[in-house]
Amino acid sequence: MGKSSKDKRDAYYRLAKEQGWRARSAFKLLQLDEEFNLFEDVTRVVDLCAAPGSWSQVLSRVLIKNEQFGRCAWEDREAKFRQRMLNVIPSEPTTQEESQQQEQKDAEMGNIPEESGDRPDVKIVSIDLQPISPLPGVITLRADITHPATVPLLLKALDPCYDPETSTSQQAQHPVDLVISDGAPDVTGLHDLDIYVQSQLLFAALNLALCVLKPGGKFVAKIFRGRNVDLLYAQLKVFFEKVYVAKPRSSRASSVEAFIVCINFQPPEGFKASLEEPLGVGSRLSELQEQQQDPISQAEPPKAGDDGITEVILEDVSGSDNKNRWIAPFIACGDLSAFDSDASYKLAADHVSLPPVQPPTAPPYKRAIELRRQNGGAYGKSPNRCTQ
Amino acid sequence: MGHLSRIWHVKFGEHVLCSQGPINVYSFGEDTTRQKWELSLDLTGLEGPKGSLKHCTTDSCHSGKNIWSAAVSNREGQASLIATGGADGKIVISGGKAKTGTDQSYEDFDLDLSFVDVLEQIQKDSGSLSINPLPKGSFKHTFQKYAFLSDSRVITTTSPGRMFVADIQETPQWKEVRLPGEVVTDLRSYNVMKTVASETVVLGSAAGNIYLLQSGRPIRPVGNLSGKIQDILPLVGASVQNWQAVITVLGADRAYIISYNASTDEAKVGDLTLSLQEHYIPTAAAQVGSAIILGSRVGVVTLYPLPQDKAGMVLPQNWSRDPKTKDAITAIVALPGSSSNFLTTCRDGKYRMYTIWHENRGFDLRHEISPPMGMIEGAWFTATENPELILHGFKGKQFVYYNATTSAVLASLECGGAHRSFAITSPRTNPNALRLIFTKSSHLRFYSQSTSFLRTLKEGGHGREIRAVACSSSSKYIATAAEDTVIRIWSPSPTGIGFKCLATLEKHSSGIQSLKWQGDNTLISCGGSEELFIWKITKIDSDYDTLAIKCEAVWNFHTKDKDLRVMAFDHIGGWEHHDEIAIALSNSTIQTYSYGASTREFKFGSEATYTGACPTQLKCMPNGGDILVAYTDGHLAIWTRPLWDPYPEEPIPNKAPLSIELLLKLHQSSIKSLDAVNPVDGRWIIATGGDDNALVITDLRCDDDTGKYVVNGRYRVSSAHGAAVTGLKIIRDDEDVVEVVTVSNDQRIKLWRAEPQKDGQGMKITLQDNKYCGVADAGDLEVIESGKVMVGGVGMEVWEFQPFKWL
Repeated sequence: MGKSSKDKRDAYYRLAKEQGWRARSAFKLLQLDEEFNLFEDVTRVVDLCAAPGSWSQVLSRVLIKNEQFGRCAWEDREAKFRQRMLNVIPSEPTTQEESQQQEQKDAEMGNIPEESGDRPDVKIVSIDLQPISPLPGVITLRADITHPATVPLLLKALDPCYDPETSTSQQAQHPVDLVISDGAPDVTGLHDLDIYVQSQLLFAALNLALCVLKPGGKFVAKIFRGRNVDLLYAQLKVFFEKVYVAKPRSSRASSVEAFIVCINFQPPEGFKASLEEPLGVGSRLSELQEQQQDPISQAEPPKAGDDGITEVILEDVSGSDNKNRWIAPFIACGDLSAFDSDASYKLAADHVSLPPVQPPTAPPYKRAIELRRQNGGAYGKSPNRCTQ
Repeated sequence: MGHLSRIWHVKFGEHVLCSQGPINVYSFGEDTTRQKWELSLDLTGLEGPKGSLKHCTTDSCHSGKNIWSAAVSNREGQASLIATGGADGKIVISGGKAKTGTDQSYEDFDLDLSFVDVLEQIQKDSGSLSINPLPKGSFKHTFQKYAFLSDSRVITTTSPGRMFVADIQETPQWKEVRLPGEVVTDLRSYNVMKTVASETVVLGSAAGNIYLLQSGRPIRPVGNLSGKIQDILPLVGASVQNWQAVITVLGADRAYIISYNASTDEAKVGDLTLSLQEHYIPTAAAQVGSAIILGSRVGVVTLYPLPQDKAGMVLPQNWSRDPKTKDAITAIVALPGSSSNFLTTCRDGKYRMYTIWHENRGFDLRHEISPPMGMIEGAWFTATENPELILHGFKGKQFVYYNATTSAVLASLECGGAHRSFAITSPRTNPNALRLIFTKSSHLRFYSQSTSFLRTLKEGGHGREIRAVACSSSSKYIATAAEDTVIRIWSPSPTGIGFKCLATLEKHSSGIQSLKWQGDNTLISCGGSEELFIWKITKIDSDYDTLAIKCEAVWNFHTKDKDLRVMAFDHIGGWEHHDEIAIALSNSTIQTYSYGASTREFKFGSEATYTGACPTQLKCMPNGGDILVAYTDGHLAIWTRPLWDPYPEEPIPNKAPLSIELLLKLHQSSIKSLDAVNPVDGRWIIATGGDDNALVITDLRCDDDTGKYVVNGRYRVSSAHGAAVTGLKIIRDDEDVVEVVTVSNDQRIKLWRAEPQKDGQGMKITLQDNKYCGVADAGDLEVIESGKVMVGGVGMEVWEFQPFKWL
């Protein structure tokens, strides 16, 4: 597939390059934030599996540079116009003047750095096995999130005064407000394996989050909605008051990818997190689930909005065993005026396909590409063909 | 060389001490190939051990992507057995020859002989340099043509005009054929040689002489045709005793028939001729029933009535040229047990089947398929109870010997590419054995195998995720389409367990999105790269049990870059001379077309664009004309054409503009599955499954006075599944009860019952059943017979449910 073809097939791929993001996934975090106000009152954040750094880039630009990204960063104007015409969304502004005002307001929402600039209280630490190109105000660590030695490294990065020699606990002294992870394995195509590896990555992120998150904090991570995902939802519910499964419009409907958004961290009484004794292996988690009074209640109904659809109170006569299973409410993020990641778009006649903002710094296949080049290129005529 | 993508396994082969030679290493990859390497180790070097890896062979025996599992036996002194399992579910064993134990079994050898090697052997055995007069002057000593006189005797002509014959006893034993001096001179530099019958070859020379050579008898001249003999084409299907062949002469306006009379032991050349069109060069010939069929160098197939007289010129009765090919027809064979159906193979990589009309009035293309070969050079049917079709040809630099009935590669041999002299023979009842002789870099290569190097332990299916499942009207056939770009046609297995794959349709170039039948004989498929094909699937009356498959039409209203996906389509309705279909494209547009029953052409009707969101499902309301379209933004639109004329007199496309009659928000994000029924007149129940894990039942009615749709209610089960609801079917649609089956990426299959409440307010929904489904990444669900649904995804699964019965 040519670059231009990919620009048409994937509006967010094109937008990411145009707006200077390292990867299209930046829009996923922005759209999750739009729905859940993830960055509200947040000053200390840990970004796991951060390479190439597009989520850290969002944190850097939003929390440190104080930039704001309104919908217009991903709004499809033509779609919005057509939606109003076809009554998909109510046409709020009635006069042309109002409509212009609205447009102006929309435009102002986007990408305007505030003067205040400096936020010394903000602390962002990004971790990955792969190196991450530097970002303003972001501390990057090259470490394994599943390894116990990573916790003191992380705590030290968060609080330079932290001394692992004197501290006996793997718990942070000054915990963080938000832990995010966009990590995914190099998928094989063997669904069971991919889903398993992704769930292990999620557990690794959760175990680290449990060490550094403050009560009331938030946790956002990528999840593959596949077999037994309802077990995972129920397990996350042990630690958080609210758990949602969210799909930003910039994430393709045709992909199994979704994001788990966990709000209000409430560690069970007496629970002590440690990477020496991680959750996800052994019976510790199921014991915690047993202790929990009412594992599946969630005070607030899903925020589906008043869409005129009658919610049916389901009667289950199937007799199936739903112990330890629970389905987190689904929320779609990014309103309907957002570009559709599944649709094909027509590009302007003078469209120029831009090169990627940040090509992979040290991909595992780097040596293979080098060898192939040495051997006269084989079928890898251009290096872009070999990148993901 | 090497794998094209990720390598999943590397294993050591047969065990040898590394000081005694290289170690065999096998690698298995995402690209479905199994590759053999030789690892040479030198442990004695002063600078520490050194090693080198040499690539030997690449074999592909699975479809789609990925060899997931592999095992290699490495018992000392025994050739390794290599077993592989792919994403296609197939299990294949290769290596280690197993004797089949049949009488006709061949030896296993692979010889590479130079001209000198052959001469030396002849000299050693006969003690003389040559039994024929040696040519004067210097000649290039090369092999020219090959022909098998029988299973165990092969003959070769050479550029000096000498002729060698080999009898095969474990290995070939070479001798020189005694020839008169003038024949040697005549055959020097140029000759044509073909096997025309058992123990019989016919030769032709540049001077136009025709020779007959039968086993155990001296060569004899049987005639002369003025001109250079171009080719000798055995008339396949004619009498075995009194055989015939077609001889072509360079630049001639006719082809000559050579006929052999067994009782008089006479061969008559040129008494009968076939008149040729201008510049027509025949490349294949066969007798089919009461007709002679010729195939030409540019793909023309010509029918001649079988000559009634013993002499004279026969004029062609009918001809047809496939408009898509300009390549040579390489073989023509009558279908077993049939006097009106024949098969042709072509250098364009396709094989085709035709049916001759009554009294030879013409013939029709019925079947056209591309097996995994680049050029097909020949075909034959096994003489077994259930005949199988065996093809041979070239793919890249490989010679490929292929069982088209079982889709198994029986032999694959590096030969340097197409365009070379070769001859092949195989026992008529055992296609796994093979003898092949060919020229490779001026050497003679002689290969013989007792059995196929690959054995399929378990047949496979699609190599990637199934995206659509469709059952034909009478439940006779089930079609599945997948990300591997292939469509497979299945029927319930005669054993009652599982399904038998009847055909594989390979024409799509990217993932297939949707698939629907019209009756039992028409199948329509659509997918990426703006592809939409109409297939005709019929049964040919012969002993060869196969489906005849032809792509009848290709929708070709493409955009400049041809990069949109055709997401979905449906049949709007059918009229006397045309049908109307609606299609949904990934750029948010829907379009309607008329399709002429006889013209087989699409004509554009009307078009409408939605907001930019991608359509995912399209279904026509059987009231005629209204089109349901579901989108990635969770909305369902009913498109209507107000000026629609239900009974057009002319077969012209309906140009009336499309407009949205009703737009409903049903899901938070993409609608992944949809079904609609009308249990009673004017009442509609639409069930949808979403990426938002929800199942929504929409209750619609048509207002009697205004003719407009009115929504009685939309009812949602929010967390119907733990993941996207990707397959959905309404299996019962009574006035007061609707039952729905759903499948999801969470690998659950669920049965729901929806009962509209008596007061017209509300809907009671109960979950009736909830089971674990073994199919990951389910893409579609289809009712295949009453009480049975098939789930397609990573594999296929059939679920039975208790169909509701009136008491």
